[in-house]
Amino acid sequence: MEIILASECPPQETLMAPTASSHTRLVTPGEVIYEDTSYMRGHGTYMEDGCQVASVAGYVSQVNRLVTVTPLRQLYQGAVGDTIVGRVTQVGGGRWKLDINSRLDAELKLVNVQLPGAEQRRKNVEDERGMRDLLSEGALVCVEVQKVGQDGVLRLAARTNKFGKLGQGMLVSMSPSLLVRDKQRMHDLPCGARVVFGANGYIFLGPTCDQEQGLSYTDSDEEVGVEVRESLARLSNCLRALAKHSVMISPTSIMAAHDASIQLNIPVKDLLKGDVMRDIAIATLQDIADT
Amino acid sequence: MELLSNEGLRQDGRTTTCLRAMKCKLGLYDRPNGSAFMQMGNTQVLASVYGPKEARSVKSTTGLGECVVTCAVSRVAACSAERLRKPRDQRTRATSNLVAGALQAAVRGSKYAGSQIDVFVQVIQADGGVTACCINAACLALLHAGIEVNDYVTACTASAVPTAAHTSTQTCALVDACQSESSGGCEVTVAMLPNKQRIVALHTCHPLHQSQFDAVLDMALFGCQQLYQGMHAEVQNFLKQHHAIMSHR
Amino acid sequence: MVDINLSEAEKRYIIDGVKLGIRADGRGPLDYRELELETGVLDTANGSARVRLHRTDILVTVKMELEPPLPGRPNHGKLLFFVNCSANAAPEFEGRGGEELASRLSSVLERLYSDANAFNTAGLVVVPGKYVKAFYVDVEVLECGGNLFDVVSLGVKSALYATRTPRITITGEDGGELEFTLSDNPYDVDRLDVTNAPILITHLRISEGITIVDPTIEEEQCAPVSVVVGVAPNATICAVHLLGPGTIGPHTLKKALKGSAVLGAEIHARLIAKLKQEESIPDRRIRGFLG
Repeated sequence: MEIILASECPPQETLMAPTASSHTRLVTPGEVIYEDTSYMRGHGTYMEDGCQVASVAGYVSQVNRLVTVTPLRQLYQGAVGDTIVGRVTQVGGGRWKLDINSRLDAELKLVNVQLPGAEQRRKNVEDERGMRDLLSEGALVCVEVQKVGQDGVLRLAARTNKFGKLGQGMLVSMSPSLLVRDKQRMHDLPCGARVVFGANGYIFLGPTCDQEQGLSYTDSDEEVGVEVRESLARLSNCLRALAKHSVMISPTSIMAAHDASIQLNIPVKDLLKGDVMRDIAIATLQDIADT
Repeated sequence: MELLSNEGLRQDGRTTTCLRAMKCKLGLYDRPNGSAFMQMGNTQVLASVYGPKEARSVKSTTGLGECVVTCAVSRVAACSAERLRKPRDQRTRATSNLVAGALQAAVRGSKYAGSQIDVFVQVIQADGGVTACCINAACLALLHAGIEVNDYVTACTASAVPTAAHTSTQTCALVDACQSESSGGCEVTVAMLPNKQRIVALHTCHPLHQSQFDAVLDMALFGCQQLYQGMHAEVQNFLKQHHAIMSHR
Repeated sequence: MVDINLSEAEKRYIIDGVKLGIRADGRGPLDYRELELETGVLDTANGSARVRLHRTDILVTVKMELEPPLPGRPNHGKLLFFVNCSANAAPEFEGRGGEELASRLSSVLERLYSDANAFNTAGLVVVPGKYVKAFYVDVEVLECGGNLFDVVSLGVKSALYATRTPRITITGEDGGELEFTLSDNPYDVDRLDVTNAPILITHLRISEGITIVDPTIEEEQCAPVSVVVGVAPNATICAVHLLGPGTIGPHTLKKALKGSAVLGAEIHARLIAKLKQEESIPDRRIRGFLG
């Protein structure tokens, strides 16, 4: 066991990116963004006395006339069409309740799930009884947001074989604002890992499936090999290091971190140490800036 | 002992309008959605925010399309000179309610209909102004969690103590009283929304003459504004540290 | 402990990994993570320590009070343990939710220190038969992310090591009541002897013959039973507790005990070395929670 003294740790100072954008506008709650009503208010803002005021601490982003403030840490807000990763919290009544890192649990109805071998028929009572066999409490699933309900509850769907139950592997969770927006959410990385970047900040790491059959609802019995495990462990530790230092997460940045850690000859378990995590974050930023 | 010297200085050398050294930090822990630490002089408080998440307590389902903010304050056994036998008692429950009320006023509840926000506050050291420090720490934890609020909530105490002139009717208002000052005089805790100039919580458990009240209230509001400056600076600092990289897309 | 729900496939991944000798974060079965330590964090206590291990954060305070001795032990001081699981660590601990874990922890600590070889209470006396020193050790769990027992035991030992009590002299007698004076010279202090104070090492039984130390919160979900071993600095085992509703084979247990003795002695040596190093830093700035 390594023991370090608090007085030995360097104070956490700014990891300045080489091209830190100075024109990003940072606001905190109560601060007026625009004294103008012609802007549309997005998340993180509200109108008061003809002014648009920030309601969270974060940076201002503007798309045409829509102004939003994104905080560093937040919960998943939900947008139709997002691919997300969720964990089952309740089963029953023809639907699953899923924890999706949001303010409310989301809902996945049995009718919105494509069952293996039952694509062509209506779901019956038998299917409803067997729901727990498909997905029980705790199970991880990869689903799509179908619609945002009136009450704010997200309705989910898993209608193609792209979606479904996630098998062996591990979950790393972080704030969704750290993820780079990307249509493609599932990536097979060259080191033998399949990574699902759930738009809700739940990132699933597992071994690549060699066949093109997609996700099923049965657990595979296959044991994951040592080499793949090592890359998965390396990737997950890199992910945590990047998230800790608020580096944006994308397939590019995570691969950069992974390669940097190999280049620096860092054993996987050393990536759990504070100073090494910091080095990796810096190396990754450098790498992204160079390319 | 005199709480205010002939020169107008307090026991710790402050003037009547001088706050204690204030330090704060956002983001200590991973598991809660937001966490913060606040230190005002020797009073130290740690706050964690969980949520907003699916409301589970019975009371909260009766809400009017708003979210419910709950708060629980507990104390470290060694937080003051005497060892405490219970981390929670009637006093911490009263503080909890006050903190929850102040936060509820700031949170944009309609954004989180059907959800619940749990705030847990841990008093590490207590030396006067504990309630105020709890509110400030909880406010920073809310900001760290990215919860939508109308404004900051800042809280400060003020006290009225006899002036050195020894005339019992003459009192002088002090800002940010420490333990010895509030037990020797009185302690009025005021919480406000600094950008809106609105008071959201006021608490005192000592008798205070009406003629003194205005001066004490003004002093507390002045303290709130001062604290807002300090907390605002720390939040901006936190954003700068992290968003320099985040915006690098 | 803290409940998190893992899917069967995730558990399978973790268990298989341990059997193959590579854990989910890349560590081997007997690897500890980095521990962060600071003593003297509270002014209001006679001794205090804050210990962090990854996502576990513990604050230990020691306060001395003068009390009448226990009946039949007029020449012995007291050492009392109280644990509180703060709701900050997990919302489940709110109200009475953390009490079960807290009382389990305090009873383990109490028994660990009850032996005269571990901590000698003889001599902690001011007036024999009338006033003895009672040391209240309060443990506050601020964040709970796995391996709580080990971290708590290290925190307790550090806090006791850092405890300084002002020297007490009897100055006179006034109508049968004794008068005490407490020295206010910061160098005129009494310290506690913790040379033999034991620590705890938790082995989580993953499968027969295989145990791991320093489990993460996810790993703790994969196995119901763990062995908590108390180890003294001279590598002798002074306490064994079996926690959890599972079973363990005698062979596995013996292996775990053997491993603990070696590991424990090593950790003791490192801890004391670090505590001495911290003590030698001139005008050390206390970082506390701002670090």
